[in-house]
Amino acid sequence: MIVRRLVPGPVESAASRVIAELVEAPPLTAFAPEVKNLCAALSKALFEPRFRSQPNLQALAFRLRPAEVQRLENSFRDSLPAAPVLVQPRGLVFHIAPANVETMFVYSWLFSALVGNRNLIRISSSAPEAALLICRVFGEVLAGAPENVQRSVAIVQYEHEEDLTRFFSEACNVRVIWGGNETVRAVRAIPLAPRATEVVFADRYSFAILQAASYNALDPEAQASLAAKFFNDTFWFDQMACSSPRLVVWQGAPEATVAAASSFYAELERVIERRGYSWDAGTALTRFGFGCRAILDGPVTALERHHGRFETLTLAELTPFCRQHCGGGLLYQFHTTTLDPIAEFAGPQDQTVTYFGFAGSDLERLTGLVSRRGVDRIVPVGRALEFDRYWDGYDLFLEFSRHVDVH
Amino acid sequence: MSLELLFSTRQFSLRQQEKEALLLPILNQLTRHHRENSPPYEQLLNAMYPGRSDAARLAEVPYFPAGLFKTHRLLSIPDDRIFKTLTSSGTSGHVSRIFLDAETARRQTMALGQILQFVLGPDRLPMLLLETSRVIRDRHQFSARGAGVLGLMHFGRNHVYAFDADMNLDMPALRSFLEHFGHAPFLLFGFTFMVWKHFFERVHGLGLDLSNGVLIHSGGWKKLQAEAIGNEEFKTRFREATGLRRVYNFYGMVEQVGSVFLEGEDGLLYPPNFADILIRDPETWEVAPPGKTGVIQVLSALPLSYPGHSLLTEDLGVVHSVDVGNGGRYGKAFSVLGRAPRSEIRGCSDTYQESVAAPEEATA
Repeated sequence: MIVRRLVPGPVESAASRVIAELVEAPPLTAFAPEVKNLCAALSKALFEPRFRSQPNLQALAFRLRPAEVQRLENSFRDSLPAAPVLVQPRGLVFHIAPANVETMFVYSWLFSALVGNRNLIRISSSAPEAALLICRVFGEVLAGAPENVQRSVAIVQYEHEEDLTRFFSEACNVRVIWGGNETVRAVRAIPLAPRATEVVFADRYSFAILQAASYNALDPEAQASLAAKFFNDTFWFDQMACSSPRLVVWQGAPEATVAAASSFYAELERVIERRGYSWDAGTALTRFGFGCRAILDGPVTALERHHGRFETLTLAELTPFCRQHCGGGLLYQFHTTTLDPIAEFAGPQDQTVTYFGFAGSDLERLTGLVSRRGVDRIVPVGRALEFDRYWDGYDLFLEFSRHVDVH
Repeated sequence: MSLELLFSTRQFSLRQQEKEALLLPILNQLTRHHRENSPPYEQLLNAMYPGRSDAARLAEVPYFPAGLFKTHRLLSIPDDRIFKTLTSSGTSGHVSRIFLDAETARRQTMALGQILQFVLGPDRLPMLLLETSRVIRDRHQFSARGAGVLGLMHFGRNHVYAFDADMNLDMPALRSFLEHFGHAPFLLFGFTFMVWKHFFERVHGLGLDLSNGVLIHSGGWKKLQAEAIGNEEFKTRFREATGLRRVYNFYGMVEQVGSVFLEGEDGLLYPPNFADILIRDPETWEVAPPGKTGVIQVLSALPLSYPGHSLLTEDLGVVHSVDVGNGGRYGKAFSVLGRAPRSEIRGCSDTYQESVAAPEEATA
């Protein structure tokens, strides 16, 4: 079986050779200086002026800076089990990257590489140009790294060849699947080696909870800044990232939530206009159609189009609410005086809750309520897309390492 | 009644301002009528236009996506008044269903007649259908193609189908039709793609004389794009090969049968008196000025039995001029630029997309 290897490469290579080279690569320790240097070099390359117009690459460059990697290392070291347990990499990690969130495979690689694993990354043949660009930059930077690091990673590109996925799945120690539920089901039907483990990222839903009185108390500048953070959370990946909010819950007295929502949406319109962000006609039409069908099918009492910048659908009630969504700038909203309906609503399919205006015991109460039956991340507005070691309920450092009991 | 006035006034003769003044009260009345008679339509209005009274201009008339007829049963009559149901010939699995009562059907026929009279004159002409007779089967559940053919058949006589049941050219029938009627004006009708692929490409070398013909065709250019056949090429090649000079394309849809937009001699499309279009900028949904491309919204005074008097299509178009008067046609002159493109939706949920379907089917 021949596969196209983009990094190191590009080259057509036998799949067995790709695996053999990775398996025979010299071992790396957790947070090996060579790997940290590679992160730093990659960060530097992505900060070059030619990538400045791409916020997702800038965010990636930021996460690969030495200070950020140091933060991850501190976090890793702080949570190491007490001796005599020794932590070792699992070996070869096979990442099946999402087709269209172009930076995600780098994050997936990062957490695995930092704890010393060798990594095989599969990207789709229909991967967008931005993903191929990252591959090229990755390849260039990797070429300057020491040999043991160079040999620790391969990026391959293929479409639906199940034979390749089957072969790589048999060879790896950990398989990481990024995908919708259907993708996950299809890949999971392909067996792993008996001792291999699996990390699965399936379809998830995310929402924001905003405290109306706290918003109303902000000065105009802070209100604009909150809207800008919300914009980043929501629109960087056209609202298709799992952690991007699709529903906004306004909590507070009715007059307060109505005032806060209308001011916030006006701010959001201004951010969208300022950033020059727009949708193509097809996406705008899909969104409008989705909104109208939601009115006919669900407890939706209002559809507002905010001058074409985005759409809001107001829900009369939260519980009998289907989480289907079209992405592309559509927000459900629900106004409530108490947090109780949210406790009933939040479920296992929910991933990220972004919040604003909750602190101290209020925040504690909120996190207690929403995380009871689901929700894996509760973060302030502006940080929805910050990929970190804890994701979808996993501790990735833990998933990518092996604990050796020494006595 | 002002709809009858719009019918009886010479088509395309109204200046834009005049037409809007006549059309607006009818459209407002239709909005009220459908609000009172279609609970889903009322739901849509309440959610999108709360507290709104009559529109003060055409741009304010509430509108909804034409695609809603594909997923929802929208009608403003009790079921026992359904006279016939039209369906679109969607290949994607979703099909529009349009419910007509006798009055709406009458209006559609009337409307089409008024429009066609403008190019065909008052008399029924012998009619060559560039179709197979198979296209009309179930008279209660018409496909868009069948409905189109039936709708147009009213305006001809001595109908002859150019194709047999297997879509082979019926040469004897064709020759006999031309022998009998080719010396005086006659009507040809078909769908753009079929007219080109099945008719023109087979007859262009046969030396047929179609110089007395008037060809009316519709259905869009999308399928011919691959062969680089546009409206100009279409007309030139027909003229050169057969002498056919009078060719009129029209833009219409099953959601607004009867209110079709007929091509003028200048190659642009014109709304009839009882219909109009607006071009909306998809970034703001505001009405776009002439010259700017946007999504086409169609307005029609005809739909009484279903809430379809103001619909947003998925087509892109552009208004070129207003009230220029080429060939006696006033109002908006526009062209259709095809379907709005749909970009690939991004997401972390589509690593394998297509490969998924296969294993699922295999296990089913």
